[in-house]
Amino acid sequence: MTFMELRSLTKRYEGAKTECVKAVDLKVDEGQIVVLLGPSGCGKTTTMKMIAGLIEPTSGDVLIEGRSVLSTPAEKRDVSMVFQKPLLFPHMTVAQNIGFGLKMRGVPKDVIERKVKEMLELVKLEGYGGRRANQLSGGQEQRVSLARALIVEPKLLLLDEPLSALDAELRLEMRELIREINRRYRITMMFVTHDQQEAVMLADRIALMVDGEIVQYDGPSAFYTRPRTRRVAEFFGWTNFVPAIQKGRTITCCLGEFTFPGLEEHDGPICLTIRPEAAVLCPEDQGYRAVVRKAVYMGTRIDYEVECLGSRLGISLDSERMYEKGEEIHIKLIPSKIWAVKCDGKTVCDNRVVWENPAPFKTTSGGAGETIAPSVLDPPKLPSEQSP
Amino acid sequence: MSDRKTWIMLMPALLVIVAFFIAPLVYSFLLSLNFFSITSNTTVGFQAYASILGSKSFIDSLAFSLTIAAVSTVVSIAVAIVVSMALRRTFIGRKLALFVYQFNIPVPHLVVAISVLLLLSQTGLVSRMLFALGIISAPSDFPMIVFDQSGLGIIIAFVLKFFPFIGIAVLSLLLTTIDDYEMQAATLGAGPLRRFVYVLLPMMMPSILFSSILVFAYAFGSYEVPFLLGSTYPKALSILSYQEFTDIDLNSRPQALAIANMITLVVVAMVILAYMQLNAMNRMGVRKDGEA
Amino acid sequence: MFLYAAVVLPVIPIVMWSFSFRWAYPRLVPEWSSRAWDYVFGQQNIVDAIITSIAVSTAVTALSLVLGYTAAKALGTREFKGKTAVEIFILLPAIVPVISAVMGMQGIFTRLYLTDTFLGVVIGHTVFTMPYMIMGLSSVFRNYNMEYEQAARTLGADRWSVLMEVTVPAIFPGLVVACLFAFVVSWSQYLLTLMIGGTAVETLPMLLFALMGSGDYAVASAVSIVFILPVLILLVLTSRFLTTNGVASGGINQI
Repeated sequence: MTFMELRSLTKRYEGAKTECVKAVDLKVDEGQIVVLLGPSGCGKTTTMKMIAGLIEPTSGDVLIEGRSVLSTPAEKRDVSMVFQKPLLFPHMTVAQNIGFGLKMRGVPKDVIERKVKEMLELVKLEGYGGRRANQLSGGQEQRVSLARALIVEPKLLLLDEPLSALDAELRLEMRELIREINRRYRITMMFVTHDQQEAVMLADRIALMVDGEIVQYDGPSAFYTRPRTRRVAEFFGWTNFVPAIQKGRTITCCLGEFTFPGLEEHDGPICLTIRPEAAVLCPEDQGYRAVVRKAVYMGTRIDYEVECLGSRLGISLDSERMYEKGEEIHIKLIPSKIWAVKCDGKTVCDNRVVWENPAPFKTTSGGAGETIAPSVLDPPKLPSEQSP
Repeated sequence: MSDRKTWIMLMPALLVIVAFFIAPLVYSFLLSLNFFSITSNTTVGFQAYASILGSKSFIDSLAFSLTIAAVSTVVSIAVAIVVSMALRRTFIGRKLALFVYQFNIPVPHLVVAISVLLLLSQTGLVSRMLFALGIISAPSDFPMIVFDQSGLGIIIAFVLKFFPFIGIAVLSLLLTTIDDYEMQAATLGAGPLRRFVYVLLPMMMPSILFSSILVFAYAFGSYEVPFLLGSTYPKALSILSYQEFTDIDLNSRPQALAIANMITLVVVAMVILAYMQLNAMNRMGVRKDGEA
Repeated sequence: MFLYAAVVLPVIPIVMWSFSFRWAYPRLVPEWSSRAWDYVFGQQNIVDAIITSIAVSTAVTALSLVLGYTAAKALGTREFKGKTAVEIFILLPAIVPVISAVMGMQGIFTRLYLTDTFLGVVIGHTVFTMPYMIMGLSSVFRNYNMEYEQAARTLGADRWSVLMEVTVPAIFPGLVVACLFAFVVSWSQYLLTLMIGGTAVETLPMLLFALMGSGDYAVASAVSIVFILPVLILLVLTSRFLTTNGVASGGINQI
């Protein structure tokens, strides 16, 4: 059931040339954690603050449970927010901080006391109630901030990069705590972050935002298997973008012809994208022949830059053996780690190798040994590599 | 980075203050006790203090100076908060307003006092305007703001000087740190009034307290402003002291110094009280520089 | 609205008076004349007072910069025991009114033959400008990374080069503001100059007081305008240097 909805929500700051948030449409289901993911400065925080009622949108609407809340001031929206900084009121104790929301709602003192105690237990800070904000560590402060937002039992909890100031270990712990709270209380949450790892760990759904627009709204795994555009792909660690032509359901490029299940029909230029871990070594009579141009030892894996059929590919192989520069290897591509994306206007053939001394070289591909001369201008037509 | 080097770096400044500020304070205390008596017919002791504390003019002046300082400070704080709150939100012309806001901070008190005199005295510009409008028919119809016994003109001059001084400190807090805290309070269900009472005001307090001390002390000991705008009775303490000091009768000098020392005493007591209060706030965590 | 009234209204009568010949009571506008201004620039004692004031305040600024620089640096960049106490101690001359100390000062200065001398007035002013200079500079140093100096040292700069090539350029805007503040504090000093300088050192505020006493408001107003000129320069500079910090005068209040 849709709990909250954004309808072409737009914000343009006074004096700004472009909109900071551009006509964002988004539906959030009840009880889910939706992560708003994007690079810094893309409009995530502005979107959150508009939902909370802290910033007035230029146009568009925010609906909670089907009703527009634009005319409701922040304090009456039943939307709690945890900010990047803990913002514990310095003139109050931890307990007073946590109880603040209830005090504002005129809840009797003994009830507040009881609930504060519950909350302290929830965030594992029993006995810290009498302390001051400056007697807590960063992680503790952020947990108090979380407890303070939760105590009012908000319909919607907004979290604006609440973990970005914490160290890695604490961050993991806090993510688990947030998921646990979400599961236990069924509170709908919206979480802002620029860290894709964090997004994937927390989210039921991820809304990827770039330049004030939501470019893809999907379950976490979709971003690793079916990114929609090149920008999305880049954000989720897709590295190789090979210019290609799609006709119907078939994609043709210098590496051959491809087709994937779930690929929409389309005619025109497109980008074939290959994850670095898509490549695996194979026997000489199979796959592509590739020449190592650069090798970087990464510990468990080795990152290579190889030339393969006129394309420069970044691949990552197991570090069992390190191949030297100039060495020849044979690789196969795992179909589930290849995908086609829209080019976002970036159609530069950044994977094409410009040969200093164009010379024909021998390649084996698809099991059929033949000699081809890769040309810079015309990617060779090759037999279909694989079409499962 | 040794402590020793730190103290060497501090030394020149500390020496100047000890030699030319602390020493004069001590010296004037000794003088007030008749220690270096110019005429020899007096004995060392607290006679000067006894004499001023017994004089009605001193008590009246003390009350006058305390009232002036307290009222100017309180009014300035109130105006500063109102104006700063109004200037928080962006609006057209805000940049100019901010510039104007700061304008009076460095303007000498002497000039502000002259302005108030020319504007609000019984023959001042406002009086002339009311005359032109036919509201009053003679200078004496205009209320006695300047040179009056209640010190209204003095207070107005001080407030004009002080409210931007307190206000700019408050405003810079409001625009930076406090803003986020207010948003947080709003999302927790606090309406505008409650946000002001429970969050904004407590968070502004240390800064207000600090500037208030400076302002109160200045108003309490100022010479120029009450000299230009005050009535002949009661006189501000500083004026009383200066007059005694320049009296032809050298025997009244200890009294002059005793009055000056009383001013010092009040101000230092204030500083100590405020320091303790600020310290208590620090312990409460208002300033976070003690974090480990 | 109130804000503009509070600042602009007081300026009006001063400007009007400064251009008046006579301004008898019920009249709303004076009889315009440049008499006061002719007088200000024609009268030797006024020009002298301007020169004396500039000389005193410049000397005071320089002296308090030299004497306060290391202390400001220590307070801004180092942590040590008793720091708060030192800060309050240094602030004392800015808090305790001039009247409290000035008589004792006169006594001591008389014994040192410093009364009625230029040097005596400068030393006296310096005591009261030091807190502003030190607090202003130390807040600048607080945002200053000492590692720049260390980096310069490793690159072979000696102490003097470090100061002139690294430190001063880095703190320059704050330095200018602190100096201007010290200048204005000294510039506005009345009672102290009166008691220490006597009639030997006549600065602008002393002249202004005398003019107010004589009741020539036209000339007094013109002198007032001259008197606030350095203040205007300070304001323009502070708002230029400090707007990057959000509120233009954040720095003023650090002091």
